[in-house]
Amino acid sequence: MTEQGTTSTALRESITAGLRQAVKRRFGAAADIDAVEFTSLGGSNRTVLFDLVDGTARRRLVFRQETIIPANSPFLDPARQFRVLSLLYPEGLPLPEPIFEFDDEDSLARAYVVAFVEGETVPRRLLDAPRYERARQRFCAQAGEFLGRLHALDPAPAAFLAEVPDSIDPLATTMARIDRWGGVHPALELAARWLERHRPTSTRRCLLHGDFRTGNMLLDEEGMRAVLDWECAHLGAPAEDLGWLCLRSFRFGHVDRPVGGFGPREPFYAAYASASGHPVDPEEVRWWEIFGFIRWAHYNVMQAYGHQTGARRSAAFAACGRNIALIEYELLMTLAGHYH
Amino acid sequence: MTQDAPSIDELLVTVREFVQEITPQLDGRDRYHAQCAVYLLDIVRRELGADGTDATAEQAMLARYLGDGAAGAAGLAALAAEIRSGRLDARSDELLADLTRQVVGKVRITRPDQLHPMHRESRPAE
Repeated sequence: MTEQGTTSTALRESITAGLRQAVKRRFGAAADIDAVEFTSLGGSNRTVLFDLVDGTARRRLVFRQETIIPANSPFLDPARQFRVLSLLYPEGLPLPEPIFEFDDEDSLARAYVVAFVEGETVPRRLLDAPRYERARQRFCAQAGEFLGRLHALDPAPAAFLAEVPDSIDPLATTMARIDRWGGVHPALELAARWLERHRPTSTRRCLLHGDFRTGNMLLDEEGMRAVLDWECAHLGAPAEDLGWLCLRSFRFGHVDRPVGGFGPREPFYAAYASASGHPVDPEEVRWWEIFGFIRWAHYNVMQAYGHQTGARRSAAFAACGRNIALIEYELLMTLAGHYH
Repeated sequence: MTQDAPSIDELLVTVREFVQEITPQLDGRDRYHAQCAVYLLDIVRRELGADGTDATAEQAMLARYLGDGAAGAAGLAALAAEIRSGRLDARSDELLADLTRQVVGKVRITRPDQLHPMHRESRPAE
């Protein structure tokens, strides 16, 4: 039995009823929902698109609900995700407008609603389809500007994220999770040891997106429209966000274009420096890329653990276990200076 | 003992052919998982066909760091613990080369097409 794809009729009906009730509570008895579409996006999150209809007004919205809560989840709960979105949206950054959060009086829990944004997220289409050529040309500068603006914000209002383990020590946190989930990976240990011995000395701390990579942003033909998936937001060194976007694992066949498979580093770093007022230290970004391989491996360890323990079984999660070797390989080749 | 034909590999190929045949009729999540199933079957075929060279090399590597008797997952766990303790810091260049070869052995089974040309043809020389 699977969460998506074969969502039962009863489940669909109960979600639809819960959505309708939530909308009427907030927008009045005349408000209703229409054109409900259950998408299959997201591994542990349920995503449902619907129209909010109020008189002649109609607005496309997205319902996001956490459905699987893995032990020691590395992800922010929906309440804190909504709080991050609410904090950032007024700053004018491109992200989906937060509409409302579900509470104890709703029949649905651990969920919120944001505005629907039209566009494409699938990496292969964005990186290969001719129609996105203009967006591709703009991407590196837009990504740099986005992170530069995000990191220039005062992190004080995001102090509620200070207790998130990734805000304290991402390397120690990530290795501890790997220990809990199991598996034996000397290559990851070697990289972790290298990271321990070469920790960056910079002290700037910012609100980070935490999962800023190709696949988690929505583009149209003109460029970046919205940055999605804020469940890894935390406080930390700004270069962490830069390194994650450049991770070789997220170049989708375009390994010669380090910025998310889109293009070269120079325009990305230049736009970042211009928007944030802080120059980029390429060596520090490289440190975070080495860390990024461990982090990407650790998500695969998590999926393999979920499969092995029966929490959620599938061919895809089983493949995650074997794919750790591919990440270790790119990690060691990068550490040795063969890959950049 | 000797079983009748088809062989293990032929059986796996047969299952693979069937999954590939029905994949176009599937949608969304099921289609994706059918593709993953083919991917897993290919891993199984390569692992069953491995000649043991990489396994021998792995054991020899573990012996170099931990002494004779270290082998398999327990040996790798002991090596991981040694690395974490910092006791092998002075041998980190050697470890980088050795662990690259260990990981190449895994990638040869999982996805050999992902290997850099420098790791494609050559087998580890002992």
